[in-house]
Amino acid sequence: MKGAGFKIDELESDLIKIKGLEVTVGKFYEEWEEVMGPTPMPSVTDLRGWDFTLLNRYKPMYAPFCDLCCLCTYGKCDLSGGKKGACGIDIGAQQGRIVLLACCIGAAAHGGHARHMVDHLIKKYGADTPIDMGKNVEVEAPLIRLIAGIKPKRLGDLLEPLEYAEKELMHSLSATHTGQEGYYTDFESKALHVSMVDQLLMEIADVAQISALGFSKGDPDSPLVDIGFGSIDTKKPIILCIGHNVVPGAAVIDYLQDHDMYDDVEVAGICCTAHDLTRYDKGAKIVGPLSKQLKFVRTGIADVIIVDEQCVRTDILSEARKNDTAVIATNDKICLGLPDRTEDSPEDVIDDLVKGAPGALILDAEKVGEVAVRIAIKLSGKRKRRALDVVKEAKKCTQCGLCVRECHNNLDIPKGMEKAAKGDLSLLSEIYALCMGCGRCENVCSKEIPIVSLLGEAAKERIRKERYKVRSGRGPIQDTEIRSVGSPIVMGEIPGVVAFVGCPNYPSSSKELVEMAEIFLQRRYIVTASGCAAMDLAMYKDEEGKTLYEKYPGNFDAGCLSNVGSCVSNAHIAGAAIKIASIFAHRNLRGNYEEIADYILNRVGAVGVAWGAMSQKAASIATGFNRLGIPVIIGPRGAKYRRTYLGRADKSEDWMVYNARDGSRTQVSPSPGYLLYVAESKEEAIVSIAKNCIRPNDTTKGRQIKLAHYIDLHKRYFGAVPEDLAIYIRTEADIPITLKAEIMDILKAKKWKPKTIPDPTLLERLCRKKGDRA
Amino acid sequence: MTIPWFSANIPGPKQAKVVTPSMAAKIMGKAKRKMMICGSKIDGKIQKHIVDLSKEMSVVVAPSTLKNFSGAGFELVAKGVVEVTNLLRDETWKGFDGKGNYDLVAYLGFPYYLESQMLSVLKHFAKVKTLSIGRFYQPNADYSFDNLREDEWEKGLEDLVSLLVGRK
Ligand code: SF4
Ligand code: SF4
Ligand code: SF4
Repeated sequence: MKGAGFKIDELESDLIKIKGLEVTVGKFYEEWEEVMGPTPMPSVTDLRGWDFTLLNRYKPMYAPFCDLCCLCTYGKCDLSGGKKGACGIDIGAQQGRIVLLACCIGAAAHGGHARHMVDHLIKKYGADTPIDMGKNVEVEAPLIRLIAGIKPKRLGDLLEPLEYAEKELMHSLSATHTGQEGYYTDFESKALHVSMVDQLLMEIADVAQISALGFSKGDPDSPLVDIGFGSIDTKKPIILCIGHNVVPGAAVIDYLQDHDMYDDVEVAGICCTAHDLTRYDKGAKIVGPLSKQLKFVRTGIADVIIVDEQCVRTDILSEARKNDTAVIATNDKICLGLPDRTEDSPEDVIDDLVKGAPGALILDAEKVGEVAVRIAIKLSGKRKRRALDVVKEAKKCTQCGLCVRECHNNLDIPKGMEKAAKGDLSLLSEIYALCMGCGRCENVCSKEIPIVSLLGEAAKERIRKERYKVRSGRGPIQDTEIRSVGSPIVMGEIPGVVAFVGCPNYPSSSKELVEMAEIFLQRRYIVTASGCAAMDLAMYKDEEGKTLYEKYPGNFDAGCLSNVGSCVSNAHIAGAAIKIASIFAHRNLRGNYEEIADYILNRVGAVGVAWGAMSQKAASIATGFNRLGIPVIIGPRGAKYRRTYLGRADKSEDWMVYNARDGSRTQVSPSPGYLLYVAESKEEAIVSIAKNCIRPNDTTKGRQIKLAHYIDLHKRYFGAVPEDLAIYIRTEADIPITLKAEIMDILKAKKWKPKTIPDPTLLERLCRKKGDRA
Repeated sequence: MTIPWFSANIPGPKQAKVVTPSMAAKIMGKAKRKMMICGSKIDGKIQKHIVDLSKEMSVVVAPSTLKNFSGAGFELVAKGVVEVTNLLRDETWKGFDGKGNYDLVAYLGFPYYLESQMLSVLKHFAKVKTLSIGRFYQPNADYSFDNLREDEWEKGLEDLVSLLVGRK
């Protein structure tokens, strides 16, 4: 369908004043020769069959946080011991409902972000701005193609999938109302649905900003940029941006560049806004992931804090007050009770902030840019940073131990205080490195010791050395890269794709993440990363002083580490898996979700790792990957998401597939064994990653390679050959050659018999000829 | 009423009964099909107790600790806690020895929050009774040790093992 449109920049008559009006009739995106698949813009129930196929194999296991439900005035209802709520719901369905709610919140956060981004960019650059993902990226928006069935050509084309996603989100959320959905599998199906929609929303947001803001378009050599407290030049005025929406931060950079002042002011970020600032301009700095937020704000180094949306501390205003740092809120999601100064002159706002007003709400990015820069220059050097006497504060500690009980990681703060009171700050400094900056310990300290500030003060030297390099987010994976790795991934010769994603709520040091990534890099897996995890991967140096990003190239290839970018860039990781099906295997994408997900589940050995997953967004991101057939391993804290999807390797009937060659039914190796798994330790995660890269479609050569890694890692971390090895061996040709004798003995003892290697699918309709059915 | 170690971890009206080591020994002694599930936070001292308790019951250890048990002289299963807990939900599961599901499981050596969530799975979705013998009160178990000082807990484990299996 062709469309027509017109645009009025400014029209003023006696009757009316119109500014920036744009009218579009019809759809501009090109007709696309690819045949439309069965489910363009699927409704809540269109893919229910696929969900039930997954849920039948990977059954949810629920771990309720609470026996109660308190969502309506019939309640509280006690759902323990098989009791039902006044509305009739049982504890299983209630957990499904909570999971759905979390996924809706996550999708809504990305959706709000995408809506703001698209509206803003259309207003600023016009709806006809081309979607441009670079010369090597023809499949520009694999998720939009797959889910919405359209091929967007210009920013305006993003509106239709956006509206579709908003509608699906509304329907999904409405199912959580009292007296709507009542069965756990249907809650789960809706969670899977809204999380698929979440992936679509992430792609819309990132495609829009890459196209309009000039971010890297899939460049494996995107620049190495500075990350870490120590990389911030404290001699300059400092503007700190926190959140996920780069628009106000980009306006700060624009203002500085327009006024030839960019060298005089430091622009830094925390969380995904930081990633996107460096994608906008490589001169911006990244302080670090979410876990650095309170720690950095407490230092009082920032002159101005700009908050946009998501993952911002909700007490940011009172925290900033402690150091007289000005706060500018810029987004309708986070107004913080501040007066709306959007229509006021910059001079008036600046004047008030200099006189000590705590902050301002400014819902106009350009104005934020100007006010932030001018206020930072005025406040810089004038604010008094309050000195903290660590020894004196530590002496107040009564060793009551309440802080340890509240601490996520049970960090031994009392011991640190005891030593510090005697002048030895070493333990507090060590605790600083493990602390994720939640501030909960301070809430319970009866002596009101500012524990987080003390940790920071004790770790001053350590902080100064926090200076690293991270590769700026590259955005999409190039079609050419997919062409070269598609075959070895599907055949199993590249043993797997491992994606480190998500938040920094780690069970221990973030160094564990670096160790995990390096193990798979050295073994020539494809390693990719996004969000806070991509930052933490940069925050350790080897003996030669190099970070992982300086040691490994940024390609999407064996033994390479690519940083795709911020949270919304997760879409490119899903997109890479989809592109393998489309570019390498020539499967149709258009509105063809189920077939592509089936392809990925059976053929693409990809595993997501969200070692510190914390947010509802992380819940929807993981669940979105799950619907697409990609398993995700989360750290022990992930048990608090209350739901895992676990397969049962001991139940052979759960691993039956169709052989697409003739429609017969056959049993395959139980891999991926899980769709969502909680690993207790890094060792368990490492071995699980290797095991879950195995796919039913592996060639014998590919299976040999994957098993060699699984066995080797199992031996290295657990000290033994895996007990379950035999179930992954289909024919003798699957056995790694160097281990043949040893493994044949094991197989003999287990009375192993060879199995057929099918062309595996879970979808009967994809079988070429119907044979006997089990 | 005992306050959970992490004070916000109050699941609802049904909370674990606090037990002393001798009560725990009695509960374990009475159980016909019992199993101990051990986490990654096992040091040498606790390991000694586990080896002794293995004479009385099946033991599952966290795979990351398997190496430490080599040569301990007993059959053990290494499995992630999520996987074991999942199996326990299934009444038809045959157990690790093929003799059927268990009637009592004891948890030891986990991060507090992870154990809490696993106990919650079994509290709501399984018949098996649960006992937590870690250092801190776990409200989602059926029976749990109280919040204990390190020395109290070590002595408690010692007493439990002596009562159950005797120690030379
Ligand atoms: S939603 Fe149902 S279970 Fe929850 S409080 Fe209301 S009646 Fe009770
Ligand atoms: S701020 Fe750090 S030390 Fe305090 S409770 Fe949180 S993680 Fe523990
Ligand atoms: S809560 Fe405060 S007084 Fe108590 S041990 Fe911790 S730091 Fe010391």
